[in-house]
Amino acid sequence: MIECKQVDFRYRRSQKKILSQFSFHFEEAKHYYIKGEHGAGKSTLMKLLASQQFSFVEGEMQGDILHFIPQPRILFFDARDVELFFYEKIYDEFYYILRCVGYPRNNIETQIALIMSYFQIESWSHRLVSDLSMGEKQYLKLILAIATKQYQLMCLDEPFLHLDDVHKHFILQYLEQISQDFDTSLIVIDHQIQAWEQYFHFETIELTTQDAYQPWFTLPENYQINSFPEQKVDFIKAPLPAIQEQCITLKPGQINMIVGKNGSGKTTMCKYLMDMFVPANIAISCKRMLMADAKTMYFYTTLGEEWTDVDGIDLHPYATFYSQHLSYGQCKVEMFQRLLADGPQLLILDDLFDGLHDSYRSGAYRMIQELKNKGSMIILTGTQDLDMEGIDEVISI
Amino acid sequence: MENKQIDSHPFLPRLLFLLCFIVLAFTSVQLFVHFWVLAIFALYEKYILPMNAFRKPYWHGLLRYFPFFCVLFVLYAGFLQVGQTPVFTISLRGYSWTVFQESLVFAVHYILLFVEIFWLSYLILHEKKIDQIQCFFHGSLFLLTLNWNGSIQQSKQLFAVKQNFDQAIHARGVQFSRTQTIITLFAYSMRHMLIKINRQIPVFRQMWKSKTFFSPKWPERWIWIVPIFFFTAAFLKGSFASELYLKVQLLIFVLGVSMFYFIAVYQYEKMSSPHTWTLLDMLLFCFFTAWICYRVFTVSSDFYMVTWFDFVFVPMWPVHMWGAWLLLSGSFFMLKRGQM
Repeated sequence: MIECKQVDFRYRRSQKKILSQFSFHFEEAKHYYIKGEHGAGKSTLMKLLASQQFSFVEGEMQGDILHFIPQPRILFFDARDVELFFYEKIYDEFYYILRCVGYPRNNIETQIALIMSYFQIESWSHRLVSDLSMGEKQYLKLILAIATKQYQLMCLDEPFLHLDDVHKHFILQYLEQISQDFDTSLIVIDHQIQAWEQYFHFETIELTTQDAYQPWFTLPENYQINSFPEQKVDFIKAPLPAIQEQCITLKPGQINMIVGKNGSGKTTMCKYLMDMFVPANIAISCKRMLMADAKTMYFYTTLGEEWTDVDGIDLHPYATFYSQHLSYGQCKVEMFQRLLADGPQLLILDDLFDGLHDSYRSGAYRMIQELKNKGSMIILTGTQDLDMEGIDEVISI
Repeated sequence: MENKQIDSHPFLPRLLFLLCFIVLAFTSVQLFVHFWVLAIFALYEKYILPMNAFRKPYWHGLLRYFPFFCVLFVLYAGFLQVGQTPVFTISLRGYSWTVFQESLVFAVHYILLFVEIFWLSYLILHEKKIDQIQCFFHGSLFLLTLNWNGSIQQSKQLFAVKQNFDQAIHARGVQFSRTQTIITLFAYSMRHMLIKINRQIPVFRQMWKSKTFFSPKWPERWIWIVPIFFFTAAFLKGSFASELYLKVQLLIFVLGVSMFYFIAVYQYEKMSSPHTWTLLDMLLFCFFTAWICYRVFTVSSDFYMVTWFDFVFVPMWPVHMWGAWLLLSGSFFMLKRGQM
C-alpha cells in the first residue's frame, strides 16, 4: 500500500529532525496504530503518508515514500485542524460535501437522511454549525469525512478528541463495517487506544522521541496562593438554559469535576465563570482557564516571549521553540504550566486530559494535586469521570 | 444546545439595504448622513438583532480601538495632501508642512466610514445568515463555488480569530494597554490566519481535484468576458472616452450582471432553501440594487474637495435624493417584519 524507505524529515525553521531513517512497509487490508510520546513525529508521519505530494506538511524530506494506491482513495483526517465548514446549516454542509464527491442531485436527500439516521443526528439538520459545541463539531467533522465517500485507506489523527463514549461507539461501529465491506485500511493515532482494540486488530508502529519538548516547570518553594472566601455561584445568567439550574461552590483547596456528554454545556459553564459572557460576580482576583484548544491561547511566536512577564523565570529551557511547532499535547501542557506560574486561586482546565499521552497525564495529575494543597480551587471538565484521586465533587450535567 | 429554526425571510435584500447606507455615507461626504447611518445601525442592533449573552454591544468593543482611529486621523489629515484651503503650516528646519481643510474633512469622513463598516460587519456576523447568500456551482464553475463560499467562510474565520483572541485574554487574565492590544491582536490574527489558510490550501486542492461533474463547456468560457470588459473599461479611463467613462462602465456592469445571472441560473444549485422570496423582497432587492448602482456611477468628480461648510451643513439635495432617503428609512420598518 505505502512503503517508506529511510525517511528523514525536518520542519522549516527547525534544527531538529522529527523523523530519522524511518523505514516501513504498510500492507493492504491491515490496520496500523502509530504509537509514541508527544513530539515523536506521529502526526508528521501521518501527513507524509496521507498525501503523495506531501502537501499537508512543509519542510525538508529525504528518503522515499512510495504510494501504491491513488490519492483520491486516501483520506486524511486531523482532529486538530481548522474547522472547514463552508455553510452555517448542517444540512447544507452534507449537501455540499456530497455534491463535491459526485453524488447525483436526485439521490442526495436520501443519502443525507441515511447518514444522519445512522449516526443519530437527524435532529441536527436545521441546527447551525456555530451553535455546536466543540465535541459536536468534532463528531460532525468526522462523519462528513468518513461517511460521504469510500476510501481504501483512512489516516485518522486523534479522531476521538473531545468525543463522548456514545459518539465514539457510533464511529467505531461504522469504521468496522466499512473495513469489512470494502477492505478499508486504517492508520490511527490516538493516545487512548483501548476503545479501538475492541473493534480492530492493529499492527503497532512505535516512534521514539528525539530531544523533543518535555514538561519542565515545577512549583517554586516560595509559591503561594492568596486565600479567598468560600462562595456559591449560580448560572442563572448563563446563555444556555440547560445549565441555568446548576450551581457550584468555590472554596480553597478543592478539586471539582464537571462531567457531561457532548453539547451539555461544560465549556459554557467554564466560560461563564471566567466572565466571558456577563460578569459572574465572583470574588476571586486571580482566575485562569486552560481552553480545550490551547493553541489559540498563544499570543507570541516563541515560548520565551510568553513567559517574559513572569517573575523568577530567567531561563525558559525551550525559549526559542515556536509554539506552532509544538504538538497538540505539548501546547496544552506548556500553557498549563504558564497558567500555574501566575499562582491562580481558581484554575479551570477544560478537557485537559483529552488527547494527552500517559507520561504527560501523570505529570499533570501531580501538579494539580500540588496546586490543591497550596490552596487553589481547580475545576476539571470531561466527557467521563476521571479515575483520579483527590476529586472532591463531581457535577454531572 | 438548542435546536434553532431559521426564519424564512431572504437575507440578500437586507444585506443590500445595509450596503445602501455605506454607499450613501461614502458618496455623500456629509456629517448629517453619517449620523443618520449610525442611528439606523444603532436602531438595527437594538430592535432587530436578537440580544444574547454571547454578544456585547458594538460600542463596547469599538471604544477599545480609539488609538487606531487617532493614528488613522493623523495619517489622513497630516499626510494626505488633498485640498486647497490651508488650515495651518508647520515649519521645522527649513521644511514646511501644510494641513488642508479638505484633508481634515477627508479624515473625519473616512474614520466614520470605518466605524460604519465595522458596525455593518458586526451586524452581519451576529445575524448568522450570511450562509443564505452562499451557493453551489458545479462543473468547471466549481472554482467559483470554492472562491465565493470560501471567501465568506474566510471572513467568518477572521471574526473567529478575534473572538479567540478576546477569549485568550480572559482565560490568561492578561492586562494589555490599548496600544498593546492592537499590536498583539494584529500579530496574533496574522499568524493564526496564515496558519489556517496554509492548512486549508491542500484541502481545497483535493476538493478541486476530486470534482466529478459533467458540464457543457460553453458557460465557463463565456463568463471570462465579464472581467475582460471591466479591464478594457479601466484602460479607457482618462483617454478619449473619459467623459463617457461612467456611462460605459455602467453599461458594462449591467451587461456583466445579466450575463452572470444567466450563467448562474444555468449552473446554480441552491442548497436547502429555508427562505421564500415574496414580491416585497423582490421589489426591495431591485430597488436597493438600482439605488447602489445609481450612487456608485454618478459620484461627483470633486469628491476629495469637500470643505467644512459643505461637510457640516445639511445639503440642498434635489427632490429625488430626499425621496430616496425617505424610501430607505421606510424600508427599515419593512425589514423588521417577522423579527420583532
